[in-house]
Amino acid sequence: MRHKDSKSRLPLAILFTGIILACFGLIAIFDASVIDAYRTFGDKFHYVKQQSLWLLVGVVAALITSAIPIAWIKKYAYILYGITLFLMVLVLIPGVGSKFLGARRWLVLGPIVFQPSELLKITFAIYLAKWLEVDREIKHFLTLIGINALLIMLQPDLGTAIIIIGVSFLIFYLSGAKLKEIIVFCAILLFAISGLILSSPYRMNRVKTFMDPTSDPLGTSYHINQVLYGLGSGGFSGVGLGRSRQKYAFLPEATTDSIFVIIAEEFGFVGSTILILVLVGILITSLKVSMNVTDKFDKLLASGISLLFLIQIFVNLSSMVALIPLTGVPLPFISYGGSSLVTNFIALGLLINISKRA
Amino acid sequence: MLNKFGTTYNRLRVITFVIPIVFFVLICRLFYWQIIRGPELQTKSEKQHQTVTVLTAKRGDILDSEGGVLAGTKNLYHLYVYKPQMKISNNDLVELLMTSLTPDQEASTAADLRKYLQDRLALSSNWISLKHYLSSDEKEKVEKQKIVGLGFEDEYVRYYPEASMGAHILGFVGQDAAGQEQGYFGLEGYFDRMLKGREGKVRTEKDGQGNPILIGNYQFLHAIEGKAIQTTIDKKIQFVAESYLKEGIQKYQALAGNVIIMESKTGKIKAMASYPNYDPGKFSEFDKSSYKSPLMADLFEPGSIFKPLVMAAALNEKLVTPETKCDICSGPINIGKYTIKTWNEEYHSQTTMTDVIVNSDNTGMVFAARKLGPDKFSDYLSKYGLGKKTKIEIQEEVSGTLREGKKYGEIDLATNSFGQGIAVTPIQIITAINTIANGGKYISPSLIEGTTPIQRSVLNPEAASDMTQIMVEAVDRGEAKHAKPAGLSVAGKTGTAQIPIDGRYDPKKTIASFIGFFPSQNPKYTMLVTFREPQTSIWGSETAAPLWFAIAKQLLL
Repeated sequence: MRHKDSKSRLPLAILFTGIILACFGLIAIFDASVIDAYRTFGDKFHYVKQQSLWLLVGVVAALITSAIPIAWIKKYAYILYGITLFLMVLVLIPGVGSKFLGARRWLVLGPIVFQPSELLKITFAIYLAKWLEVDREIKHFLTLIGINALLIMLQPDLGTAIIIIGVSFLIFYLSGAKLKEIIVFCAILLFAISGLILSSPYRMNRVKTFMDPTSDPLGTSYHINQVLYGLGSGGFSGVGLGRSRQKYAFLPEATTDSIFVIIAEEFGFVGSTILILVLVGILITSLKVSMNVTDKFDKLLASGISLLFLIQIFVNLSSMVALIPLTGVPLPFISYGGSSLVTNFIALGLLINISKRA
Repeated sequence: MLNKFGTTYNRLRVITFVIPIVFFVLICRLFYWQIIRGPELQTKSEKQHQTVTVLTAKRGDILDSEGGVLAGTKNLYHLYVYKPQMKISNNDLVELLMTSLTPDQEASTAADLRKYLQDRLALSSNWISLKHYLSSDEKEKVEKQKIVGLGFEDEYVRYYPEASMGAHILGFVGQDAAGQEQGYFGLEGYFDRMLKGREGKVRTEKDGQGNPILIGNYQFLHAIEGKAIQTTIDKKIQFVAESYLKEGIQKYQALAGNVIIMESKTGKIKAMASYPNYDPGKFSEFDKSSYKSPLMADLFEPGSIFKPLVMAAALNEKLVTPETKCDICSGPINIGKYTIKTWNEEYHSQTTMTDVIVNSDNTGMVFAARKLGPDKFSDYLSKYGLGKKTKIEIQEEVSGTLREGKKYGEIDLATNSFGQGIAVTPIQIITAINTIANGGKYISPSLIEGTTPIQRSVLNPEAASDMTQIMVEAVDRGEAKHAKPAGLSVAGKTGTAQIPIDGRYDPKKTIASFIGFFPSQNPKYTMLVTFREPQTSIWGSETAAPLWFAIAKQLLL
């Protein structure tokens, strides 16, 4: 009986953790955006209102996806993925896709602006779970990854590419890939990454500043320096809620990719460690879900979703603490951004859905 | 259906196992930045958030004994522009400003000034300093044009209303290595901290674009004005001393000259003049060697004006009386390979101590010094304040050194007795002679009203009175007597000291001097006049003494 109880409570726990994290995110977003929001929109709560709306949409989406029969999702996996691919091509077309800061990532549909690449994270995970139910040859897997990576890099969006490739690779590994295949994959990946870095002076600089963050504090290493200043200012217990100084136009991407810095500055080492532990908690819980289910599709999909969270969290946080070169990836549930938030809640919905089948 | 515990399950377990390790590393890294590197990063971060505006403190004035300004501070203005607020083009702004601003030292012609302003405006920063040191007239004109984006800051500049008057008393205000205002030499150097006051600071926080953060920290520290100091200098006497000295230097074609006038009873310096001097307002245009006051910073061999100190000591010890006869004065005295002669190589057997001073007889001085002996000799010089700083409020004062009694050789004692082979500063010698004027009481010199001088008894009143009488006779019977103002009783002594160059004395190069005080009974002023290398005559009696009397005459008026 006890076993059954804990199982029935698990889906709720997952959803609530997601909502709590998102609410904490709202506080952080308000904090980080208050000045910008007031200056740009004349409304201190502009970003918070937007994000709250998305949170509501996300929770509804999670409830819906948690109720849709998994069999149905599995059945239409190819179509869902196909639609996403279509949108991914659409976004690249000038005039259709909206360009911002040199990247073509957004589709504008009336009042709604969204990133197809966010949707791709989910639909591709579903597609892979179905596709990898049977053993696949590595060359087919590589072709598949290649197409997705290419579409993303045409935007370009290195962060998302890393997430998609990373998640795919881990699903491939979980599905039972041979060790030899994994080694081949790693070799190709290494080759591709070096190529990407060498081909772009911008990425080259990112790597250089990663090696030596103090090299050019006002130029290429400005961002990472501001990140570290924020972390350092936070110290053990933080400067206190609302008292961040780095948010005053010093820290780039303060509401999105760099929001962790504002949290670390205001809540200190203690606060940011607690946040990390909660995130690790949600990861472990979702991995538990995939361990508990027996169906291979369920298992791969649940793992795919868990790994989606894992890689995003890992890439974001390790960029912020300079463990890897700075890579623009949002922190799930916390960073400002509708597409990302809704996608993460849809993923949570799927996870809840699967957990019920264990 | 797949076995729940198949390959996928195992590989999931691997991932689940790895996650805590990965995130542990992440937290360690976070610990490194937040805790270990925290303080350092915080400092750097604060640096970019905070701007500190310095509010300069007005420097305290230096006043004469009656409250007249010797060194004052002018309030000028610094013109700057905040570009984001500017509504007209750079060229228009320059042309508007050209109508209000006048060229100065930095940009001496209108064309220079125009180019200077254009260059300033071409700079890329938001806040640009346009011009320093605008007069209040210029400021008013600019303000009347009502140009948006311009602003003013107070700036204080030292000025000296009497130009070079008292340069060596005042010193000047320059900039230290960090560009901060700093007083150098003289009173400006000595009282720098007091005159400077404390600068104020406004500390504000700014955002990445340099705009102030409204909810940021704000600290305001008022500037505290520097304190004014009132000197003992009498502007009228200072003026007399300077103009007479200048005249004297021309008349006697001397390289340099000094005058110090001291109020005998109090040790207050009423005037101090030295030439060549400089203009403290334009100090950079003068040679650096002219900055230090020779009165405090130059050691010289005093020669015969030193003799009264030695004779007074011998009188005080009752080793001689004014009537004591010298039994070694019939000819030159040989000490080892040296021979002590008199200045005119005339010798007076059995000459009295009074006559030794009147004739400035070197051999008689050797007689008196030998009576004293090296220990007492050294002891007295020390009591007169030689070999130590007089503690006058001048930064560059030096002390010189004094030989200890046990280190005196026979020849040292002999030459020192008539002021050779011993180096003192002019302020030391006048303070020492003033001891005689004061009935034997040493009183330390001062430039500041209200200071309590150091006092000590060196001579008993009888000895001081005897010595005064001898010095009166020295004036009345000496060669300079015709220059003395009629009816005035002066106690004084001439000096003509050869200047040692590489250990030898050049008979043509002398420091001619006269020291003394008047009226001899109940004296008012003690005065020293020196000339370096006068050309018309090498003798103190023919150069320094006439000037001394001429100034004394003025002081009596």
